[in-house]
Amino acid sequence: MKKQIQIANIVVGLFILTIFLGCADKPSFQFNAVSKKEAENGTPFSAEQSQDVANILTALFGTPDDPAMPNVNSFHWYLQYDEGYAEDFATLVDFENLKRSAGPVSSDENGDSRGLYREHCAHCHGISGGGDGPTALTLNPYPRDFRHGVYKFKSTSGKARPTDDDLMHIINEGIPGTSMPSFKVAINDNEKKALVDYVKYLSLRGEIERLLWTMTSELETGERLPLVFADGYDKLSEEEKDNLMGWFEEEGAKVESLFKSWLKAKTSPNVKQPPTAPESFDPKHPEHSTLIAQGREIFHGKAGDCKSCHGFTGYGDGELNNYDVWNQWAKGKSDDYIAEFVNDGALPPRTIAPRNFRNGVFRGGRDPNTLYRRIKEGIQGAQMPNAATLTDDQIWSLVAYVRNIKSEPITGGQSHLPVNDKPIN
Amino acid sequence: MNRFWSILFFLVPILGVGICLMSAFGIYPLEHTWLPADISESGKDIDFAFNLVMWIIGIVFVGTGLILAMSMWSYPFNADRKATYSHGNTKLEIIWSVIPGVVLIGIFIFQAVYWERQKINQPVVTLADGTTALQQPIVKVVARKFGWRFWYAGLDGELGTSDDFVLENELHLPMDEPLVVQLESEDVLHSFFLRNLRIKQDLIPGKKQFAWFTIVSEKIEQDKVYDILCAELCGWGHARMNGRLYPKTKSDFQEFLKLNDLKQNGFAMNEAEEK
Repeated sequence: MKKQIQIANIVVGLFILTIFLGCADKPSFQFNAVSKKEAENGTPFSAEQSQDVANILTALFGTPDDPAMPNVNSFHWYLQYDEGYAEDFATLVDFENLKRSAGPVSSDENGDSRGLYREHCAHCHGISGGGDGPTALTLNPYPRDFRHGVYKFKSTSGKARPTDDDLMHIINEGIPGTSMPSFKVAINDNEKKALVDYVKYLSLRGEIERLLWTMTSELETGERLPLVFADGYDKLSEEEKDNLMGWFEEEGAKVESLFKSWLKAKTSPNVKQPPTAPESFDPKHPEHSTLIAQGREIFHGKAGDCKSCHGFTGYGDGELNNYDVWNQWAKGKSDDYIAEFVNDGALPPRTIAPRNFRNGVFRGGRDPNTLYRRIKEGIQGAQMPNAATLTDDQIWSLVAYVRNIKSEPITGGQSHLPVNDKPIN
Repeated sequence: MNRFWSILFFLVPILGVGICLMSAFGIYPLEHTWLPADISESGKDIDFAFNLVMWIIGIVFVGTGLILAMSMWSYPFNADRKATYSHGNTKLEIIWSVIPGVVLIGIFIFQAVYWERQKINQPVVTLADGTTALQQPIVKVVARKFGWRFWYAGLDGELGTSDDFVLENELHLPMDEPLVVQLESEDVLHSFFLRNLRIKQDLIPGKKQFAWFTIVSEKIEQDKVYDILCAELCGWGHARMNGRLYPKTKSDFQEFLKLNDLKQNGFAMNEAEEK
C-alpha cells in the first residue's frame, strides 16, 4: 500500500514537472496589435486575411528561431528602379549576425553565445521587437517599439534612419534616465554588431507588417492579398509568381523605399558635423555667462519657445498632454476605445514627458555636439521639433544654457545650499 | 548500519575543512577560488581579520563536528536503554556562554581599528590656510538597474562643476594616493563591491555615502583590469550589473581627464577622437 502511494507521488510529481518544464511552444512573432486594430477601424479582418499577413511575413522574414531576409534581389521590381541596388540590398544586414541573434539562448562549438536577442533584449523589447516584453509594463518610459523604424537618438538628419554607429552607441552607453542599461562590458563587439543587425531586421519586419495591415484595410470584404505563399517563394507555381510580380509592380515601391532608406543610412548616411561653437562656449571664457543668458532668452522667448514644453524652470512640465509616435493612436480617443486596444495587447498609452533639465541627464548623450544635433534636427518620434529658424550661434547658446540649467537657481539669485552633506557611514 | 549516521555526520567537518584548505592553498581543482588579488593599501588587514575569524570558527566547527560524531558513535540505537532525564548543567552553560562572548568582544575590539579607518575616518586634506577638511570625492558612483554610472569630478577635482563628465560602467582611478568616492543609488538597494580593494558598501536610495581606499601600484599587474560587482540582489539584471576598474598612473589619469573633458564638454569632439 505504502509503495503504491510512493509511486503515485512520483507520477504526479513528474506530471507537474512536465507542465512547468516541457511542452513549451516555440516562441512566434506576434501581430502588431495597435496597427492591426487601427487598420481594421471597427470591422475586424477575417481569419483568412490575418493568416495571409502572418504567412507573408513568415515567408519574408522567417520565425524567431529561423530568421530569413527577403531575397530582395530576386524580386522583379527592383530592376525597374536601380540596378545598382541589387547587390547592396544583400549587405543591409549580415545574415550570420541574424542567425546568431535569433533562436534560443545557447552557445556553439566555438563557445560563442547565440540567441543574443532573447538573452539580452527580449524580456523588455519583446520577441517581435514591439517594446512589449514581460517587463515592459513595469518600466517608465516603455522600451522602444522597433516596428516603427523610428529612433530618437541618432546622428542623421530629419527622418533618415539611424546609422549602425548610432545603434551601437545606444547599446554601448545605454540610455541614461531610462531602463536601457549599458552593454559596454557585458558583451563583446561582435555580439553588439549582431544585435544591431537584428534590431534593423525587426524594424524592417515591423514596418512591412504595418504596411501589410494598411493594404489589407484597403481590400474589399472577403478579398485577400494577392501574394499568399506559405511554403516560401521558391515553391510557388509560375502563375503565382506572375501574380506576385504584378502585385509588386504596383506596391513594391513602398517596400523598396523602406529597404532603400535603411541602406542609405548604412552606406551614405546624411550625417552633418555641427559647426564650430563660438569661443565663449568654453566655460572658462569670460563671455560664457553672456552666452548662457542669451540661451535663457531664446529658451523663454518667442524665438525658441522651449519653455512651452520643457517648462519655465526646465523641469519638463510644460506640455504633458501630447503623445509621441508610438502612442499616437490614443490621441483624442475615448477611454473605451483605448481599453479595447489594451485588451488586444497594446501597452496602456502614456503621454510625452519633455526632458527635465534639472537633473543634468541627457538620454542621447551630454556632449555639446550631440545636444546641438538634438536641437537642430529635433527628435524623431517625439514631439521635439527641429530648430529651422534658429541660427547656429543661437543653437549653441541654447546648448550652453540647457547644460547649465541644473546648476541654475529656481528662485532668484540665491543658489541652493548643499543638503545632507555630512558623511554618514 | 548502526553507526552509519555517525560516520556520515563526521564527513561534514572533514569535507568542509578539506575543501577550505584546498581552496586556500590552491590545490587542484580549486585553485583561484580563495580571496581575489589584493591591490589596496588596507586590504591586508582585512584579509588578516578574515583569516583570524576563519581559524577561530574553523576550530570550533571541527570541535563541534567531532563531538557530534563521537556521541552518535558511542550511543547507537539500543532498544533496551531507558531515556534519562536531565535538567542541564549550570557550570557548562556558563562556560559555553562566556567563552564565545569573550572571543566575540575580543574580535570586535581587534577589528575596531580597521573599521574606523575603513568606514568612519574619511581622509582629510590640509587646506592652504593650515586648516583641515574632509577630502572631497573624485568620482560619484550612481548605481541603477542595471549598471554603474561614474561621474568624474574632472580636472578641477570638484563634483558639480562644468567640467564633470560621465562614463558608463568604466571606473578609471589614479594609483598611490588616497581616493574618496561618493556613492548613490538611483532606484533600489545596490552594493558597490570592489573585491580587489576589499571595499563593499551598500547603496541606499536617497542617502549619500562615501568610500575611500588607496590603490597600490606595486600590487598591480601591468594593464590589468579589475571587476566591479553589485553585491546586493537588486532585480533580474543583478548578475549583469558589472563594471570595470582601470587603475592608472597619475599622469595617465590626467590625460584621461583631459581627453574626456574635451569629448563631453568641449565642442572639439572630433579632434579629441583623433588623438
